[in-house]
Amino acid sequence: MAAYLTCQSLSGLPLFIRRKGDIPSLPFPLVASLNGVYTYTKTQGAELENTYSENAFVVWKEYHDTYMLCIVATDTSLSTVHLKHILDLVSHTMVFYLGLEELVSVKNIERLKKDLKVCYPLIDTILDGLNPKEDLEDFCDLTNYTDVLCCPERSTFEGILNCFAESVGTVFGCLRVSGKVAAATPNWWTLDSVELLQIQLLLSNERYDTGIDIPIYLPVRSPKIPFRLVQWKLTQNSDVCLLCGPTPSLADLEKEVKRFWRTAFALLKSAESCYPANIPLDITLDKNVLSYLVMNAEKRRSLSSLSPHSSSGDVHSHLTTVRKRDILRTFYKTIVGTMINLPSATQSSDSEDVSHDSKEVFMNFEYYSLHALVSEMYLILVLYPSGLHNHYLRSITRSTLKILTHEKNCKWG
Amino acid sequence: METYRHSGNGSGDSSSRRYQQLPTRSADPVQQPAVAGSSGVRLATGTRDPAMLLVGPRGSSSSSSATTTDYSDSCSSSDCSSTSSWSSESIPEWESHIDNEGELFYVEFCSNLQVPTQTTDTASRQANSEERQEVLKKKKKKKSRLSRLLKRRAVGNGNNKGGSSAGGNEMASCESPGVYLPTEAQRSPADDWSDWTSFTLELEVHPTTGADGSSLSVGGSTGRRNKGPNHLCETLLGFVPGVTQSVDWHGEVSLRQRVIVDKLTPGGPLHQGFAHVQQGDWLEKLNGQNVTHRDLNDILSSINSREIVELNFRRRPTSNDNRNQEPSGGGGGNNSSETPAPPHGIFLLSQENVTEASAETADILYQSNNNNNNRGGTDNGIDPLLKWRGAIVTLAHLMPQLTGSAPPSCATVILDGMIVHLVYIVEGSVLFLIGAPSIWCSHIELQMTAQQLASLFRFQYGSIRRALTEPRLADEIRRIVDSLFHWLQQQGVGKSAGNASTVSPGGSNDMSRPFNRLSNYFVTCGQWLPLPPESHLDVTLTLNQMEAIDYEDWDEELISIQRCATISGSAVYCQGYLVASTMAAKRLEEIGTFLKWNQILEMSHRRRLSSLIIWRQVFPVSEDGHRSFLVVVGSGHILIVALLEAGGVTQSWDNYPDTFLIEEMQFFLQELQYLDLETTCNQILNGPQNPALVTNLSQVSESTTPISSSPESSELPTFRYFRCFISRSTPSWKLSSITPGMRPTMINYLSMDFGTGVFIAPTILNAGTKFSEQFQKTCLTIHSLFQRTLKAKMDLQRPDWGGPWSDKSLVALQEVSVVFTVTGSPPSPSSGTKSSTINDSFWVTGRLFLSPVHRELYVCHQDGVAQDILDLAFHLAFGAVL
Repeated sequence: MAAYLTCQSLSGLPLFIRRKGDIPSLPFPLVASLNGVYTYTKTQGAELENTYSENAFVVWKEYHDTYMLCIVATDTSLSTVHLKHILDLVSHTMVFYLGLEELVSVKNIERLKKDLKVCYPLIDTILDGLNPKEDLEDFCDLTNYTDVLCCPERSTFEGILNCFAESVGTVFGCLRVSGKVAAATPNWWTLDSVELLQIQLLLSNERYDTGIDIPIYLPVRSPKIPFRLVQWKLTQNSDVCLLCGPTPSLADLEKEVKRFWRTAFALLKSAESCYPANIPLDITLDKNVLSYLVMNAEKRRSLSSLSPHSSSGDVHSHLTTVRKRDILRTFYKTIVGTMINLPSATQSSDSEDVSHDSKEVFMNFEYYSLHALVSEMYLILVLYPSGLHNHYLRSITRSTLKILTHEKNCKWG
Repeated sequence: METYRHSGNGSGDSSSRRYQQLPTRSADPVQQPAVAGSSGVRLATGTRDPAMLLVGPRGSSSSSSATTTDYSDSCSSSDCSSTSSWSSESIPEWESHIDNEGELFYVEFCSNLQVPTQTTDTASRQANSEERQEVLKKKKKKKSRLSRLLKRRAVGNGNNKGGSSAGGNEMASCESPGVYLPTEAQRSPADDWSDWTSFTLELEVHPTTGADGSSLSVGGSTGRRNKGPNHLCETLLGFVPGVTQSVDWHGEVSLRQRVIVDKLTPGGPLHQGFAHVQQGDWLEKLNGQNVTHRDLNDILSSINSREIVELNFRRRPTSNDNRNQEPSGGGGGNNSSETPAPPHGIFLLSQENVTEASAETADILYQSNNNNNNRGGTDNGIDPLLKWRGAIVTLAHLMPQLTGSAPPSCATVILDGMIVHLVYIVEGSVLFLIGAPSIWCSHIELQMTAQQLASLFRFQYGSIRRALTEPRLADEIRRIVDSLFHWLQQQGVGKSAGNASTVSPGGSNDMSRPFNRLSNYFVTCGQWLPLPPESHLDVTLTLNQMEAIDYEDWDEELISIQRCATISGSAVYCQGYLVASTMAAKRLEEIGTFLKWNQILEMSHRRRLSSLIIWRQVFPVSEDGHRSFLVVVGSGHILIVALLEAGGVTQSWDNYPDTFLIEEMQFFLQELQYLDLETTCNQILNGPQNPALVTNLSQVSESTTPISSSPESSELPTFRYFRCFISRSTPSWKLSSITPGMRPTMINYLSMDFGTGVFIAPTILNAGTKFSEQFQKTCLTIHSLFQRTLKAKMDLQRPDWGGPWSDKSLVALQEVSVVFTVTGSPPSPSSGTKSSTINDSFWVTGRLFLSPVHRELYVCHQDGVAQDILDLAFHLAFGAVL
């Protein structure tokens, strides 16, 4: 899996080039041609969208009338929707770090190039989405939905979090356990999914021991005025983060953190035990469910687990979690947008296919089977071992979805 | 000439001996009760009944511009005035149509479309026995014919060289005949209206059901007649008649009574396809009878059954050559009155010999510029898609450098707010491009189309470059390109309208035909129609005999006469379906593509051929330097296709069709008709013992197991297509009797296989419903997934596997199922009220099989089918290969 990503201003100056995978760096003439064909086509009254050969896609896209991103990548999906999504993410990242103002009204291009370097880690992470690193267990970069963790302590956490946010004078706060959102203030969910995703990616990417305090621009809500993103580690695997203005100071915030969260330590530990199933321990799924991803299209959250059986009930262990994750990601990329649509059509895909009436897709591989099902506002993707009939899988999927969405103890959406 | 040596008479014995080699001929007394006597020479069923010949020198002496006269124009009239292949004249009439390249395209239709039933068969069989003596005579005369033929060949060659340019043009104009084959406009100097060109058109009319069986006319015959005087003309002929505006004619028909085409009915039979009728044309004759405005309705109302009428039109000449107007009139169809067509076209670009000083368009070797010249903003005649061709060419060079892979296969641009796909095919130094907007087809579809087109060009002309640049071929290419885009456009219109069946009544969208959209992508060889074992044996035996026959077998005295070429493979198509083949899959695919794109299959399906002979050089892939020729001989609804290879052990080739071989093939064609192949096929397709509609599963496995002679040698994936409907527990299942308790379990197959396509069962689906569209789309999607799997598997074999650009995520994919829901009542054309009872969830399951050979099989079935039935469906496909 390999990819090149180039960015150039529409005036023709290259801003940066990233590459992913074991490939040689891109020689300048190729970069120039790659960008040149787009520009030239544009002068002739046409807009180049994409080109593909038998193993690679090239997608061009223009942002804010100032810069253009181009990605060359191998992609398993049948359309260029996901590559475009990656380009969108990269563009949002640039806004996220630098603010729209600085990108649009460029005074010193060399300065901008230098400033853009701060985005590289996050851009690389996004490109990693093509072939993620081992420790990435989230699907958010792919789905644009927030990964959540479902724990029985959720309502308690929400109470603490609300009080905490109020005491520090903000309405945006969330508690993450094992990198997934376990609880959040109501206003946190009002942030655009792009912004949530950027924050999520940033937090997963920046692994500090204690926490961070950096200025960010929210690409949709406030692309020009920065916010402060503050994060503290509460335990080894859980942290709390806030979006706030210039006050209060970090020291004051720290005091508040201690005040509110010291008492919750035991609860946090108990919530962490939900990982890696990401659901309360008393909920058991069918033994054949090797891993799953449930997406709530209405609330734009997703619940997933690569090892849903917390006990030693996982009989089919020939697949590692990394492999399972890759399978699910590939499955998602392959079917969503081409064979199946997200329930509430929020993702207005610009692909040429007009109607996808499919509600279910099975893919049977040599060693495993996959099933995707759209039901109401949910899309569920399940990985099964091979050798089971589709009808059986179907009933398991339906009951699993029912457990994960309607069980009393399993509230996440 | 020296390849043939004439010897005296005496062929009768040998020929009759050959007949006795056919086991079924005498062993089937039921089929042929009149069989007796020593010779056993039999004729085909009724194809040559002179009464059925309306077009032709004998049948329609009054129509001076009928089909054959057009052809005969290219040779001296003395040659063809009285010839037919039945007379004992030495030269068959088609031979005069061989052009100076040594290629032949000759087609002659029977005038009446026979709906082949048992009765007509018996009738024609009786006619046969009456003609038997004549045939016997003919057979005896064959030897002398040969000798005369040999003599005439020299003459024929000379003739053709003399009138080479005229002959060539005529031939070119006769290539690629459409559904309705209009003869070329031709001046008739003896006529009073000498400045008006006349042309003849044959049209299939259906007084009760409208064109081609689809319900075009709304209200049946009684209702129709109440709808005003012009209604009949509109329904049957597809135009609104008007009176003439012109004043200076002097003829036996009074001026005001002439029937002038006032307006073409949209979607009517004259409005589509290759009918070149324009507004203002004068309908002079109908079935050779002069027509006035007054008696038009009487004539039309006398047509009670499905038949083919011959229409003589006359047209006022325009200042331009009429034939240059054809693309817009025929291919473009309805473009004139509507918005300009979205950007599309076929282009050939080359950077060779292009320097700074070259003209701006020097790199464009070919552009199909139809309709685009008229569009605003087109500078210098460059297609809008080509204005930025620099970028296209750059990309073609860039992509391999970027990823070390093949050149790009497809690009998407937004032009004038419209998404346009451009498919690349690189051939040597030239770049072949085909562009079409996304509202017409998806990029997957366009890519498959482009690949087929490219392989067609390579097969038919040797290379894409030659096809598109050689001026001699321009007419042919233009026809192909026109019909391609016409077809794509129709698809697009159908797609956007949501109901494709309204676009072309009985047209290409009809799923029951082998020419529908899906099979256009998948089935490259022609759809396979499995014959009952005994029939299949007969047909295969006939083919084998045909291939094996040499002139030496024909008569002991002809020692040194050999064929100029060996038959490397042959196939039989009946009703447009492949029924037998001895060809390698790759060849069959090429030939299927040729027949399909030249619409020969469709023609033979829709029209009863009196005679069809095609002889042309072809260029199969990976041929070892020998010249190859394709011979197609057709009669009735049967086509025999043979691929010849010159060189090798055969004698040297003299650039002239082996007329004797053609006659031999015609003879074997008659044998096939003697074997009642058409009836057999019709029984399978339409008959009550339809194997597709069966009552229990054991019958399914028996009756739908196709007998396949698919060659095992091929690695190439080609496709098998058939469908079948399995109904559970309803003894006599009809759609009107669907009840909730006894639902049919519908299974729809698409098996992508090597070699052949298979079709079983008439359609039950409404043509062009959302259902079939979904099925097609899903199959295409799954197919492209399987393509990735295959590619990943192939990458596994390569030493540099695991390279950065390889994608192995789908390497182990075996089966994909998609469930989709169709709102409304997909498979019920007749039961409007009961539609709600039908479960409207459908599964499309595709499976990929890699061993022993690559094969893809798609089954569509209703929700709730038990797994064992589904598995049985897949097993059925495997029973297909013996």
